Amino acid sequence: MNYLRELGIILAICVLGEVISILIGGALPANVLGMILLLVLLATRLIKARQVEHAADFFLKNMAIFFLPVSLGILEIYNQLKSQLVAIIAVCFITTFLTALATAATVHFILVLQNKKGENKNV
Amino acid sequence: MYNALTSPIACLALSLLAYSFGLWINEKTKSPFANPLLISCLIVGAVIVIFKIPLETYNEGGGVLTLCLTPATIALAVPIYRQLEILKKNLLPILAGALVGSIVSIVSVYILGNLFGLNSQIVKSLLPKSVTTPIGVALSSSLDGLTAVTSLAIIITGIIGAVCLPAVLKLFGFKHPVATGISIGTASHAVGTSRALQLGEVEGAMSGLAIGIAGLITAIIISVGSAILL
Repeated sequence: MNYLRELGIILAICVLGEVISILIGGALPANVLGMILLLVLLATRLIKARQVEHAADFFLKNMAIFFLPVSLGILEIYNQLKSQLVAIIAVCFITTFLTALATAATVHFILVLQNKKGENKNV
Repeated sequence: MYNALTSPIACLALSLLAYSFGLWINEKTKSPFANPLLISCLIVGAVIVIFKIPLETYNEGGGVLTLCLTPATIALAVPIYRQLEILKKNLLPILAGALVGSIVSIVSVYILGNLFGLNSQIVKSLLPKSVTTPIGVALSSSLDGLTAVTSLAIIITGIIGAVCLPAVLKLFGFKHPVATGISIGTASHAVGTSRALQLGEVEGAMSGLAIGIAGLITAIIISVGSAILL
């Protein structure tokens, strides 16, 4: 296991993601493109999981702390935000329930369809 | 003296220790309310306000953490790869669920946000609130949203999902572990997934996959949508 090489590979993919993002006119964020790129490299075995997974697990396990500085940006805008806080939290609540129920209903529907198809095949 | 205590290293040390404290509380209480990021935000925020440390000064040290955001998103490919077999086996339910969920999330935020009189920049900041933070924050900044609002809305959404969704889904009669897992992961990303893992192995795996897939789908919808509409 070579942490530095693993980190180097992941950072190089970040750069490639950045380049692709610029090439396609910023249509998708660089980090999302980098994620797709790594998934493709892993699936095609051009990169083996063991060549990146220790560094990747470090980032995944500690993901939340990387958002601390971004989140603290709230201090600068808190005053202009104060009056809208209740509405923001209400939107978060309602939309989370709607999203979850719509997703569950869709999956349920697909599973029922697939089961029916399976039964027909058996007959 | 003041300079030593507000040096980049000092700010970084404070952040790491505050977050570790949050992790410790989270492990002790096992409660989704004790979110480590929320706890560390309160501690570091209090220190910054009390000692009047400018945010720019803090970011000289904290910037190291922000720099890790891009590689952290890219790392999300690894768990998807590890579960590739489960993904292939449940491809249609996962894709369809994450697609419908992502659309409902974006559209309902847009409608409710405007209905509740939020200003347009805040509505933009909330659009990607159901997805994992690195993707959500990147999308928010591409829309000229307020990334701090996005980041906090994503944490709040995660906590709501972890606390309420298992009961809400049960109430509406959704019992299938595949449906429950995909639903929790799509609506409330990794924080919800930590709760889905407690429901069962299938729920946890499905929820984990839904984080990445819903994140990708939301990124595509918002990027394509903003290119057409703006």
